[in-house]
Amino acid sequence: MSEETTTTTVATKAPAVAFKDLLIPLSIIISGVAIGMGLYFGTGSAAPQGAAGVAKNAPQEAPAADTTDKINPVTEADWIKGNVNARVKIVEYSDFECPFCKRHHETMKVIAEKYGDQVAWVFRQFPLEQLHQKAMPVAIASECVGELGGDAAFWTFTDRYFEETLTNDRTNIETLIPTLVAETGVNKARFTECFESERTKSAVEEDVADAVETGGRGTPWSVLIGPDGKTYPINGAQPASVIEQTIEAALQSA
Amino acid sequence: MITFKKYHPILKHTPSLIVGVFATGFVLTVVAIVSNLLLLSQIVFDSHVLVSTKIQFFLSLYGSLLTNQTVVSGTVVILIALLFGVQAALITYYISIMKQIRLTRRIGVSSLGGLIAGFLGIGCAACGSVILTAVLSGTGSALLLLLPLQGLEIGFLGIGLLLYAIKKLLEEIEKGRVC
Repeated sequence: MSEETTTTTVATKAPAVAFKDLLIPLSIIISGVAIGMGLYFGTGSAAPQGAAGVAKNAPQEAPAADTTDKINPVTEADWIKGNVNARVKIVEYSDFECPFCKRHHETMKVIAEKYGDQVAWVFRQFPLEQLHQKAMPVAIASECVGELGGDAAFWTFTDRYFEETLTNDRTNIETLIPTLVAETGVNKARFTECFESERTKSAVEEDVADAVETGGRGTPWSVLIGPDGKTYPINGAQPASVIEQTIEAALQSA
Repeated sequence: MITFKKYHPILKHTPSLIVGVFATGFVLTVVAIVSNLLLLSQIVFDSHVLVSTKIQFFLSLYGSLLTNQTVVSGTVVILIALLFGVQAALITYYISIMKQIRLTRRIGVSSLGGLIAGFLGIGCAACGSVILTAVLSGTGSALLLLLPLQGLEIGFLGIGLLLYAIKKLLEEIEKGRVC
């Protein structure tokens, strides 16, 4: 009797069990598709988690190997905080409207403060126009400020912008840029002429090309150059401790 | 009905707890290092770098779980890691305690679903806050950018699939117990 009851129950529930069983492989298929997407999007140099976007002119495939050694040499033409002849140089490729760049900029301030003249902090432009339409105008503005006011003015503008930006294109650049330009002491008329002519855009685009060439696919993207010229790729907004340990490794490796 | 009381024996099963914690740690580790694998390998395999520096560097990468995530994407990462740990613990419990041969295929299928969903979650975390970035070729990034959360949706999907897989596994365990 007991066996009969069991058999009957199983037979009655058969359709429901089949449906449930169908859900499991279905979830696996969906997962597989999603994983495929994840692998497609996330392979190569590995997706920088803090990166805010992809460069407009990035190649169709991520580099399989480290290409940071292709970085344009650091020269006095760069925007440098610290000693240009420092044993360690950290080249930061940044987007003025990227929230992770804002965070990373604060981290780099800590590093610059801690290491002083032992480390050169180099700022290069990497506006991600697909994500942040306001990033390019700000980059052009910062280059104009630097051209007209020198390193000090550039860094004042850059530091203050990252302090004030709301990020993700929420910043009112029509009011913030003039305000910051005034703080740098750069002549307003000359700045306006430079900004409207967009003559510094080529310098920005050169930096973007350099970022992409070295493997940058998002921001913030950094390349640390050791005393022996060895280069180290740093993806995303890493904590200061990661930067510090990379500096130590570069010093020990030289 | 699935209740805490009903499944609390699982929480007292030490091997399952250990596997669960390890699995959670594994997910968090992957998320922490995945964006800097090149840097990690460069430092780890450099014979001139002190072992202590290598260890400190590796440990410091975990800090990126805070600095390299938004509140939303960070929450997704943590949830996926925890759910992955729960799934791993349940599988361990089932294999070591239940030992129901006739349910092996079903458990295997649901387990696979859970694992895949877990890795899906990792993938999502990797492109979520980040919008992916990275890596995305022009077409791929453009498609992701069309999504309201620029790809973090995949992370939510991963969480949903993991929850589903866990529910199915709990049901399997309960069935096994009844039998």
